[in-house]
Amino acid sequence: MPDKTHVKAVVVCGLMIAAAMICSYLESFIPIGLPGVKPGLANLVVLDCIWLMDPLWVVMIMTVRIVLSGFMFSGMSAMLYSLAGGIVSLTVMLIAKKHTKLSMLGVSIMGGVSHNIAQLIVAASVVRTLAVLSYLPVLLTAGAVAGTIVGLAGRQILPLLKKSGIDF
Amino acid sequence: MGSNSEEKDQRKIGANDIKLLVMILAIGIACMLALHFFKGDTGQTVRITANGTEYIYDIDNDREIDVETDLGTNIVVIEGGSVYVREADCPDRICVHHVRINRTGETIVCLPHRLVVEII
Repeated sequence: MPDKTHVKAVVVCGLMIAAAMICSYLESFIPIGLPGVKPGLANLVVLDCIWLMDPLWVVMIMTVRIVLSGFMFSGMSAMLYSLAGGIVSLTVMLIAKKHTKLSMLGVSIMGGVSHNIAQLIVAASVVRTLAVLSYLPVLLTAGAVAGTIVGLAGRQILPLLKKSGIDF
Repeated sequence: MGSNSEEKDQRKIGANDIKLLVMILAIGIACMLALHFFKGDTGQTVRITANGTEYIYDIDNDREIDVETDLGTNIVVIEGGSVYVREADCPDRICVHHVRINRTGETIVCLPHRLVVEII
């Protein structure tokens, strides 16, 4: 990769990390009655990044975002759950984008659902109790709904980002 | 990058997306309904697991249990045949906001403190 592109990549990644952190901060103000259910607004940034740049950059953006907001807002143990969910959902989304005919909407749904499944598995292994898995249906449905919202929003935002020359 | 390949990149929402969404929603809602209708009978025993250690209580004996581990403290209350968490010094307090439980299979979980309250 030529140097100029590299500089641009670093700048854009910084912007994206900042945007994702603002999203995850804002979402802490959205009240949802169900424990553990979140809209996953930060995934909006990650989702669009998947369409804008190389997978490695997206992995980096996601990891830095989670580690930073872990230190700043959510605390260490919550950070590990986010990291597990983030890594699994990003992997699933990258695979879904490359190897299926799903559009951004479908990819986002896959991401939301796999994120929730991964977090629940980590939770079940931390407390060493399978009974926790009875929460799976709620998280499955919530993940699909959140994924739909994020996917639809991501579709609207992607062309705007491209127009401002954010891709590389 | 040419604009042609970019256009191709952003696929339209297709039948596949809708199928996926409907399938996951159907499975999720069906399982929720199944769990709702086939939920257990009123249970007799409360099992509290705190960071690996197990405690067993009878649900008919009203009492207050201070569950203290290195990770923190939760106050579990058994009252009138059901169980809830009244106090906790965990960051999210999801366990405190959880509804009372009294049927077999129901759980209250406090992830930060690795605490599980179960009816068995």
